[in-house]
Amino acid sequence: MYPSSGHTNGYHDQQQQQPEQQRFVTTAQRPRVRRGPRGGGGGGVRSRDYGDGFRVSGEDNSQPPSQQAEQQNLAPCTDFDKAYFHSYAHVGIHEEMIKDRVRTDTYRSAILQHQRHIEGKVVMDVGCGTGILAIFCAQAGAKRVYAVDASDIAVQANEVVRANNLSDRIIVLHGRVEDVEIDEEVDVIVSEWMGYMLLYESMLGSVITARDRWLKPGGLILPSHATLYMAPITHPDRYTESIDFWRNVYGIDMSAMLPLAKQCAFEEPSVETINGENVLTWPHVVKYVDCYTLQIYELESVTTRFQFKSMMRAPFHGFAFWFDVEFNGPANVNANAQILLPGSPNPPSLDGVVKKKRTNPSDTLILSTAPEDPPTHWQQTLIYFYEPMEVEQDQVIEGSLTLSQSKENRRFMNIHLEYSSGGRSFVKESVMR
Amino acid sequence: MADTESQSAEEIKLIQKRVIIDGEYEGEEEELEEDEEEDWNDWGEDGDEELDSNFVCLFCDSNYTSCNELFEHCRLAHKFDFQGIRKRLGLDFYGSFKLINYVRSQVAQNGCWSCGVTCQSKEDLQNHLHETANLENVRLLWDDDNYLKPFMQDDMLLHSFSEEEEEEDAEDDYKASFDKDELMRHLGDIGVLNINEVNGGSTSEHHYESFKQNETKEPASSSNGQVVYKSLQPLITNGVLGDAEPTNIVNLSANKIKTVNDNYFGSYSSFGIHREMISDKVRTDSYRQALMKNPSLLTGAVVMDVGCGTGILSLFAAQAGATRVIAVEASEKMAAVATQIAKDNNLLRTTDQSDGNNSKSTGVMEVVKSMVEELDKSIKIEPHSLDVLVSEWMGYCLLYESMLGSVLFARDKWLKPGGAILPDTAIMYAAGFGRSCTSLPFWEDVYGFNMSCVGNELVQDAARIPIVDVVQDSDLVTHASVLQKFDLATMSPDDVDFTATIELEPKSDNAVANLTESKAALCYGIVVWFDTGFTSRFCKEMPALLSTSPYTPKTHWCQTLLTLRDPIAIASMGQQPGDNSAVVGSEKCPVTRLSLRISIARGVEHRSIDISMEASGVDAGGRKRAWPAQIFHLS
Repeated sequence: MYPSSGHTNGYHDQQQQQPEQQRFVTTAQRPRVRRGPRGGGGGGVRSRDYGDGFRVSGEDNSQPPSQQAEQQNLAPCTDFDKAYFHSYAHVGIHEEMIKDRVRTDTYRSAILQHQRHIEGKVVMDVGCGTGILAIFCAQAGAKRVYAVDASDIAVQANEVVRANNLSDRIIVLHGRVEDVEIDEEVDVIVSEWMGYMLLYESMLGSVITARDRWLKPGGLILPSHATLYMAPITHPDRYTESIDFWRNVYGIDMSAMLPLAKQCAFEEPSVETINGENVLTWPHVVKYVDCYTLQIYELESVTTRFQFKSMMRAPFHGFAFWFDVEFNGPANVNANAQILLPGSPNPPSLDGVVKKKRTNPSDTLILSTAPEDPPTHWQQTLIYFYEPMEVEQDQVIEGSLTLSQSKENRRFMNIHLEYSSGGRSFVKESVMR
Repeated sequence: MADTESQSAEEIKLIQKRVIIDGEYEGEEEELEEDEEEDWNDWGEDGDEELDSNFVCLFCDSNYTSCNELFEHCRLAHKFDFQGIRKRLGLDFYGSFKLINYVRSQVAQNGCWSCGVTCQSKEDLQNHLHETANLENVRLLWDDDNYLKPFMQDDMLLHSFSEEEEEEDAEDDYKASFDKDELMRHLGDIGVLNINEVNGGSTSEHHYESFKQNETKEPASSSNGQVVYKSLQPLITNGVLGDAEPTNIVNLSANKIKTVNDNYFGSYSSFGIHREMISDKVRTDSYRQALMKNPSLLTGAVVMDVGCGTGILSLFAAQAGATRVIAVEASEKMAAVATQIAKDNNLLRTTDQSDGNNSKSTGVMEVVKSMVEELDKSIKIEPHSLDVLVSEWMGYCLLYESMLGSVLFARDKWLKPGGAILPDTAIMYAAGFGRSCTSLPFWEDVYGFNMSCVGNELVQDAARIPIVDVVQDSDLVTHASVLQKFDLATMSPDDVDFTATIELEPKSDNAVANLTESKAALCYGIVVWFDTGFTSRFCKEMPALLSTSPYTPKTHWCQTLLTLRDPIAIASMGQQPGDNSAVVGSEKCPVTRLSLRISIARGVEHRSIDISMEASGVDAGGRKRAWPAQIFHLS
């Protein structure tokens, strides 16, 4: 936090011309608080100059990758993508992700749990990063692992593979799944694609592309299912710290800063850790994703209507978002789906269902980023209101939410939130950058 | 139930219509009562008197409930026919946006928007306003990107005039390719940008549009060619744009918009920084001590605060008994905030002396929105009349993005001979740091896998770019050494470019711990920090020190790390000479003296700095080795 936010010294006009956070984006900060290339405080890695030294596979071919992509009717690689991939070449992010033991341990357990599907089989790791999941798969006995990453981190992944004597089984491909070519189908796809609010960064699209290009029928995808939740929250401490702070600064009344402070603190979604006590109700399922059946177009826009009943009287400060992912085999009935009627032809959509408590008899491994579960580097994503709303117990909070890809940059996410309670209605628009 | 649901959905839609930039729509007056729904449904047609009377007239204080009413009023009462002008000039969204801001800015100075005459009072101006014959010429006056910046805060008019337009002329071709909300957002973004850096390439669609206009009509008349030149410049320099299809330009604009956004948010986070800076107790306490605990210095003093931000240092000075505090702040937004805070705390000096019945003029503090270098344009200050010059000008590594130059400018111009400058000293220190400061240990064992290559890559990156991070006392492997001292009272602005040579000695506790088994410590790089002093020279009663060292509580400046390409082994004298066959500086043959020649110079880019570092060492046997110089760029 400290080193990332940049110190201005008051010359704000100057500084506005010279974006603050850009200067540390290229520095390797150890106490990185952000997973990815988000703007704001410290994660502005995306602004790193991606002009030189960036390579995608296929560049040496006579055919530019975008043409290849067009021929196959795949999304061409945009500048935004390049910036995005390049941001992941920054090692600090990988350090942070690997240090997230909840994440890495769950993946390792999931790979071991599905060892019988992996042993002797061909695996692809989509967005391999430093290659840790690919290595886990090799360890689990995979015959061959294709580790694909468009970011320059692939160079490092290759080194890591070599240093651990796995070059014969792990093939690192430096390029996008849309652009790389392999000569065989794969039995398993493993990927850690989840972003903040699950869908931010939309790497899920790459997993789907890989599935459609190479996964054998009946093949395994890890994780197999994902669920995005939302819930109203109360967070008086955060509000006090960010806003009330200005009411008395060394005995000086700085309330004049309040409007700015609110805008600054609450205009954009904020990634931070809350705990179960902040949550006012059971969460609502915004989107349930089945990686085996999901189509890319479904990710362009997600809309849900919600209705909550506050379980307590409290100031209502905003909404929290989190997700979990499940590691199920393709044939397994998923843990959530047991509420289905037997013989139901298609697994119906679980979108919009208010989740109470997960029953999990089949011991499906779940990686959860919920406030009540151990913290992960994803934390939770919070959308705060400028002013809290007092809600009574059992007071209804309802409205709708639309998440859509930004036209400006498809890895950004527009969040359109309408909510009403106690006869007042509001609209909040924000962009996750 | 279903009924109320659909009703509330409708409410939302209506509200949505009224919410413009991604703001939340809330507040007492917007509160919705069930029985008011009728009114709500009417909204947009007749307009709701109570809820929407927030369109402020461009020329007088009257409020209107809709844009059309307002424009009608402007046309009849002030001879300003907005829609007519738009039609005649074919003004697009941006053009109209600029026009509104231009008119508002002129009116604020009692200036006539069309002929430029300045009137004595608002009333005079209102009487003066007239029809304009040559709109094309007048247009050049507002065709300036600066007018994309909303002149009036929360100017509802800017958010709404186009709604009318959309209904009126639906066949607006190229604008349709932009999402309106996005457009508004970008305009909001631009609002805080200082758009003077047009050449910096922040092309967004308004350039395209002005270009297009200039292309379709005759190139704008030469009476003010500079304006045209200015807005064409990015197009010309970008070359491609000239021949490109409009669609490409639109795409390119989207790219540029992102740049603009980045800049915007870059600047935006700077408001958070004020809280962080004030919350930085080490920083604020030291200034507070210097200002509040030295009554002989502050009582009755005339004080200037350069780059006042929220104004907290000025407020301290005012509380400490200064008779006049001039708080200078270049950011318009922050200057406005500082003014309000001073007012709220009854410390603002009301300059309007003629207004005798205003009993509130008790304060001593005045906030001037200006660069220090241009202060003369805004306020008259006698040369050499200040008793105290205070500023919190320090940047990372002391000199990065520092405001020191501006402080020294103010010192030379306005500080009395012998006047106090706070702080009055700045000292930079350097020390060697060890492996624990790097990421190497982490990558050595990741879930049992060796990922050292990743760590090495990281070190290579860090050997080019300084890292700002928190260093612990225990991370250091050498003693600290003074790199450079600055005396703020006497130094010249060019003194910030310097070269210094320092010697670093291994930390003695290393040697003590390893007396028997002589083991060298590996120095992975140099950490730089600074102290600034409020010494007894000026702070006679209570001197203060602001330290950003690894030994003292951390500050928001952290420390700055300069990483060596390869670590250098360092050991105390008195240990056995190393292995003569080994390379000097390796673990088998550590250096006993490590010298560093460090230069810091201001970079070409504004406020960036370049640092060069050359290491050399001597082993116990007197063999020398020099390492190649490394260049770091902090920008």
